Amino acid sequence: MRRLGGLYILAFLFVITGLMFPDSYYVTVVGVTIFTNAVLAVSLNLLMGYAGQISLGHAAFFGLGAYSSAILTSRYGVNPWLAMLAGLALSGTVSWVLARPILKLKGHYLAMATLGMGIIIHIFFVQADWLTGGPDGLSGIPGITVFGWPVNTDLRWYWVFGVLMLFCIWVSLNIVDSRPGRALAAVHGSEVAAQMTGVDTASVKAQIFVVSALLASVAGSLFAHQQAFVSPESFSFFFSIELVTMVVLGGLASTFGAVFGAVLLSLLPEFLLVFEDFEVLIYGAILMAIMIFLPDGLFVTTSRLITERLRGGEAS
Amino acid sequence: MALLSVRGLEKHFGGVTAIAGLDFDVEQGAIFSIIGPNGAGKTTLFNLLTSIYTPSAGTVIFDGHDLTRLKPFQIAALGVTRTFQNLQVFLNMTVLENVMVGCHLRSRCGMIEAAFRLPSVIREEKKVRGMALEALEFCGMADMAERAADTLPYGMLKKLEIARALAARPRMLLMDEPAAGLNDTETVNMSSLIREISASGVTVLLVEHNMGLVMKVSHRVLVLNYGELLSQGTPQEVQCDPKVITAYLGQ
Repeated sequence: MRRLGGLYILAFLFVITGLMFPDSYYVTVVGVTIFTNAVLAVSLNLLMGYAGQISLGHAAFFGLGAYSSAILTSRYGVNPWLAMLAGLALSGTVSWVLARPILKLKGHYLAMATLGMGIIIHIFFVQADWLTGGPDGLSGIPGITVFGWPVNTDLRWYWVFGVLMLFCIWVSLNIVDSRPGRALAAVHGSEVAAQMTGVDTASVKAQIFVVSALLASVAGSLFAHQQAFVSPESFSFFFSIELVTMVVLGGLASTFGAVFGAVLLSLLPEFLLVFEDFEVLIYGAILMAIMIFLPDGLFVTTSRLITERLRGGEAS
Repeated sequence: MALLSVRGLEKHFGGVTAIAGLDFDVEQGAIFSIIGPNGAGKTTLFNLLTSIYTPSAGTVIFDGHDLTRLKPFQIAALGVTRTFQNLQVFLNMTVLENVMVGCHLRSRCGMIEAAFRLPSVIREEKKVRGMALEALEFCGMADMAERAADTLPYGMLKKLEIARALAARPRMLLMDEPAAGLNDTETVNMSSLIREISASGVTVLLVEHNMGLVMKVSHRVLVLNYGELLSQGTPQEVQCDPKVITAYLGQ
């Protein structure tokens, strides 16, 4: 129970908030953004935080899922769930093919390679007019129905994305606390020692790259249906960087840290709107301050302080 | 037949010859020590035996398999594991988790089962935890299981590496300077631990500078000098070999 405690608390908050404030803009509209970002951050954290492999191209898989769903449903009238599966197949294939050559690289070189991958896929979204609608994007994407329940209001999307986020967190917590999860952490800790304990490091890195791409792809598919419109802008290099920031800000190698980072970075722009022109400036200053004073991340540092305080209390 | 037999092993780094045509055999169940002055090529030899380096020439046959063709994780799967001179503990985990990684080869669970935490995963986790605790127990560290690895003192980290290696139930364990940096009491403990490991049926290859320990525990000793085999035999034979005395003390 202790393993999933955080998940239960989050699920409880999610349900209560949805029931108590069904009409609030912050809950339903911003909530969906938060949940989408949380899914992406949690999936990226599996790769970055636990396995220690940076990716500056995570938004690309979000985009592959979104465009697969958008194109198949709006142009060819394919069932959204089948389109989502097609998106998963595409993201899975792309990530699987790229994983081994890319993850052979380390440090800055890996950052460059994933950056290149993200940019290439983004350029494809922009340039392949005939398929993706180019920079103008694709509109007219139909909504979805979950077991005969049409998802046609902001509140309903709130429930759908919230459940997806909880699912993602559950998967992440499961992986972390398992044989493959420990193998990933071992790769992060010492790759040579991981190999000498029998971990096929190339394979386990490739596997987690694919898992994180698949989770991002599902989020992308739902995102396309929820927005009813996709354009390349949503999947740019800058969004990839924002996702990395969420993971680092919350605290690497902590699933709830990633969630926390996603919540913070999704809410911050909303609160900073009052500063109008200075919004971006203050946003940047806050990020810098957190990284300088809390290099282990906001969530990780805070929860450590709380645990220490509690332990100290028991001892005295 | 010997468990490990090395034939014509060579390693060059550019123009530098680190290992020059080495032949030796290690019998099953032995404590086999490799000694030599600094820079003699001892750690290089370990890195060649575990395929962290690729040899320039020669073969390393372990139980009928040529290790030079395999990757480190495949070598581990054959039952060869090692500890490191410059510690390679997973500092991002607890002590127990470190050793649980050591059980990697004795468990099966894959990524998909893990992601959905199927009942088989829960059963296996329990089993792995037990195996890891057993290895910690063997090294006298069971009481530290839940501590974060980065809070352990140096001597304990050395033991932790050994526990992690033993958790894989190896047939042969390569130990790279297990007593380096340990105080006298810890060194005595280490030598009895090495004996216990050997008694449990594991063949031990030992690189060590502490001659007292080497001469006390080893069945056979190999002396390396500038990558070449200088002498080989029982501890007594090696100690009396004039070539060894010359190499260590100078003329």
